[in-house]
Amino acid sequence: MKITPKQYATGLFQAIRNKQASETATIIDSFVAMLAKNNDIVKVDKIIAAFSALWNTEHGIITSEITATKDLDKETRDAIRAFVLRTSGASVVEESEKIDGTLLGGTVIRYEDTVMDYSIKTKISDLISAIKK
Amino acid sequence: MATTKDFIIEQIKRSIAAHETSAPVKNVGRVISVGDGIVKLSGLSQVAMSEMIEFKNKNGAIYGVVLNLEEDGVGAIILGDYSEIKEGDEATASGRILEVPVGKAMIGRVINPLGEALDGKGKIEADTFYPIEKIAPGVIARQSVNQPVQTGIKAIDAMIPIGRGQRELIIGDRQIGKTAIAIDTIINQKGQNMKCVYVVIGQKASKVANIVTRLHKHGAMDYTTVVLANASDPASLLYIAPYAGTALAEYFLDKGEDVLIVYDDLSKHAVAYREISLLLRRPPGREAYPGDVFYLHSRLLERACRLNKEHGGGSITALPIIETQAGDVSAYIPTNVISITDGQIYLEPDLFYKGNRPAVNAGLSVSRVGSSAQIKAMKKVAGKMRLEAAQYRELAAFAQFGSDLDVETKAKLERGKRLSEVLKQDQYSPLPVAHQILIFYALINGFIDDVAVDDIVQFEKGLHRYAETTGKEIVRHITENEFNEELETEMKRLISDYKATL
Repeated sequence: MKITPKQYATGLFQAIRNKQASETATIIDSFVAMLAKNNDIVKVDKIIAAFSALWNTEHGIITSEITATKDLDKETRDAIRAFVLRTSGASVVEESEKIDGTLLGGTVIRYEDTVMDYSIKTKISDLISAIKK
Repeated sequence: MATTKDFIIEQIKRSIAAHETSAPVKNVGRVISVGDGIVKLSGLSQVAMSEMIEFKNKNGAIYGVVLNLEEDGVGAIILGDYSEIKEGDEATASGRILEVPVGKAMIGRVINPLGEALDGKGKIEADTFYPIEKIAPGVIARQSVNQPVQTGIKAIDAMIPIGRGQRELIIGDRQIGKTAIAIDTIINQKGQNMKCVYVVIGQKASKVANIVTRLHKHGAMDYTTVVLANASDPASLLYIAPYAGTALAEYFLDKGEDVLIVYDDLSKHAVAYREISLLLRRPPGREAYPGDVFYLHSRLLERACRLNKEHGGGSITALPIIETQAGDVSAYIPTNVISITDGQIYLEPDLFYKGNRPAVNAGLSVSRVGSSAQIKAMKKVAGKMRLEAAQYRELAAFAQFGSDLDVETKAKLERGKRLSEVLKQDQYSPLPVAHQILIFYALINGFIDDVAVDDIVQFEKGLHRYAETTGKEIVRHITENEFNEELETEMKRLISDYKATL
C-alpha cells in the first residue's frame, strides 16, 4: 500500500511527541532509513511541508506577513502582533515583513488564509469606485 | 443655488464622509492546479458552497464558483477564460452567492448566462441581481394550474393542453421538430401577456442565429430574452445557463407576470454537468453521470410554478427539451426528466417522415394537468376529438387485415384520416385558439366528411380566411363566451356558409 506524505508526517509527529532531543535524533534516523527502504525519499519535500503544517496546528503557531511602506518600529510591531493573536486565536505568531511603497500608507496583514487590508491604496480605490456610482 | 461651487464641494464632502470602507478582512486562497475549466485551491477556509471567488489579473477579474469543499482545499469552476489563471495565483472569496443581473432591459436581447450582451447592441444596464440557485416556492405560495398557455399548435392545444405554471417536456430524437414546437409557442405568445425566456444550452451557433432571426421576423423579440450558452462555451457556462434563465424568469414572476421558459436542451446540460463532476473527481454512476444528476434537474424544474393571489399571482411555465438517442426514452436522463415534469410531448420519427408534422404521438404524449387549462369551447370539442383519435388509432392497426368493414367502422376510419390531416401544421404558423376550435368543430360534426382527404389543407385555409373576413364576431364569441347552443348554431352557420362558397 502506498503511504501518503501526510501519513508519514503524522506518524513521525506522533513518534516524537513528548520525547527528549536525544531520543528524537534516533527516531529521525530510523524514519529516514524507513523512507529509503520504502523508496520514498523523493517525497521528503512534501513530508516536510505536511510535518510543519501539522506541527503548527498542534502548537497553535501561525505565520503572518505584514506589508508596510517602511520599516515598522517595535511598538507598532508589538501592537500588530497582539492584534493578530487576538483575532486569530493562535498562541504563537511567526512573523515576516515586506516593504511595498505602492501601498502609500497603512499596512496589509496576512496570516493563514486571511488578509486584512488596511492600506491607504485600497481605501482610496474603494472611495473612487463609490464616488463613481 | 444648486450649482454653486460651495454647494458642490459640500456634496462631495458629505458623500465622502458617508462612505464606509468595506470590511478589510478577506479570505484568500492559492491556486494549486488549473485545467479544463476547473481549479483546485488551497486556503479559502471560510468560503461557502456556490460562492463566487475572484481571480484578479491585469485585465480585470475572472470569477469562479465553488462546487467542492474538501478537507484540505476547494474545487471551483471558472466562468470565463481559464487560460489567464496560473498556478500560485491568489483567489479571494467574494462573500456572495453566484448571482446574475436581471431586469426589464434584458427583454429583446441575446445574453450569456452571466447577463452580458452577445447581440452587439451595447451594454445592458441592470442594477438588480438575482441568485442563480433559489429554493422553489413552497406549497403555501402555490395554486393549481387553471389558465392555458396557447401554443398555437393544433395537436397540442387540443390533446395535450399546457397550463400556465406547468412543466411540459418536449422529447424526441434529433431533427424532428422539438425546437420548432418551442419556437412556435414563443411566437404565439404575442399579445398573450407572457414574457418568454429561451435558454440555449450547447446548441450550434448557426442554429441559434437562425432562431433569433426568426423571432425578430415574427416580432417575438419584443417580449423574449435569449440566454445563450453555445456548444463552444465552456461546460461551466452550459451548467449555469438554465439557472440563470430561471433567475431572470423569477424576476418577472416576482412582478406578478406570467413567464414561459424553454430549456433547449437539458440532455446537453446533463452532459456538461457530467463533465464538470468528473473533472472534480466526483464518483460516476449510471452512464457516468454523477449521483446528483436527478437533483440537478428537479431543483431547476421545481422552480416552475403558479403562485396564488397573495404571492403576486405570477407563473413560470417550463418547456424543457430532451433529445433521445434512437428513440430510447428509457435512458437515464429522459426517464429522470419524464418523472419530474407534469407530462410530455413525444415526437416520433415515423410520423415525421410520413409527413405528419408536428410529429406529436398522441398516444404517448400526456399532460397531467389536463383540461383544467383549456378554455370552455376548446374543452367541449377537444374531449370528443381525443376520443376519435384514440378510436382511429385502434381501428387503423386492425383495419389493415380486413377489407370487409361495416359502414360504421369505415366512417370512423375516414374521420380519422381527416383528423390527422387537420392536425398537420406548418412551422412558424401558429393558429389562434378560436380558429382551432372552429376547424375541430367542423371535423367532429361531420362537416368535412365529404371533403376529399387531399383537399383538407386547402379547405381549412379557406375556412380560416372566411372566418377572418365575414365571421369576426363569431371568432370573438368563441374565445370570450360560454360554449352554448347559441354559439354552436352560429358556428354551424358560418361553416355551412363557407361550404356554400366552395
